[in-house]
Amino acid sequence: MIDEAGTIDKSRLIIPGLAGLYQRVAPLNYAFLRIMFALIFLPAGIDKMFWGGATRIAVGNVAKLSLKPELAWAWTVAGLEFFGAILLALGLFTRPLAFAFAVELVVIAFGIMSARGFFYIGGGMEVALLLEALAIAFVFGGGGRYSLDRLIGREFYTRSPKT
Amino acid sequence: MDEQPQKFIPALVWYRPFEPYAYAFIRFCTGAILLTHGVSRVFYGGSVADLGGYLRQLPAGAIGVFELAGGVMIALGLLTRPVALLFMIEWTFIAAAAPLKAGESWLLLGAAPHYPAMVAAICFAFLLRGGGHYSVDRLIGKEF
Repeated sequence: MIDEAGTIDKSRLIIPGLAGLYQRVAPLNYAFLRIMFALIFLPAGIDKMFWGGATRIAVGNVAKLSLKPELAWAWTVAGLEFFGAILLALGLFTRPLAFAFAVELVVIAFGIMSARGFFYIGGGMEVALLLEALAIAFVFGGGGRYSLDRLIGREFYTRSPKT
Repeated sequence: MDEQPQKFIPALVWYRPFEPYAYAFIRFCTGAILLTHGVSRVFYGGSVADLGGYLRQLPAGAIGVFELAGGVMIALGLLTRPVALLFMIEWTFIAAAAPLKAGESWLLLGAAPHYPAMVAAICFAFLLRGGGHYSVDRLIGKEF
């Protein structure tokens, strides 16, 4: 399982006293990353959904990418970043949503941000690339231990026993 | 171990072999991206403007060399926790130093402190778990 740390082997640790702490926090790592990813997108989703962001990007970035019809694509992105982010934070339909985010981020990275260079300080593509890495990992990792996917016992794919 | 969840789409079985590598993949990509900052600062005289007041007191070259070596170590999973802690501190400082433009919301993706804060958060996640199954830490059998 993606976030199954197994039993922490004390003999492996340079400071063995930390084993108990690690045992408790290690499985939280994956859910933390998933929820963080979702919360990074949620304000953008709220902006697009309720503060006129969708119509703004329809004539902005969506038009620049020549995606037609513009408004439909803009609302698709708005819906993904709002509802998708909420569901991803909860860990429901993690894999398909993560895949949708991965597609969106490739387009953002290479279609929009690459023109501004690589480094974030100039608004470059590394921002989208790092998020892309997380999205791809979620496609393969699924919801993990702390997710609604796991709770309802149905995922888009079975998990493997290895950590 | 709880039972295997049912599959919605059985054809997606090709996912399976990749799942164990998902965490190592995050670690590797993050290390690679951190490394680029070191390359820029050491070899290309890259901007140190983002470092802010506290870190600017250190030589930019030292920060760059740390990012260069640290990025490789995170990518490989060597001394993952201590290096991740150092990166977390560095990027927290960078986030704190990043200026917000007038009228810009901290929460929106384009905002300057947003990305450094995200990098710091990812490093915090590495601190929780360490190198994981596929890491040099695991290979040498010793880790912090």
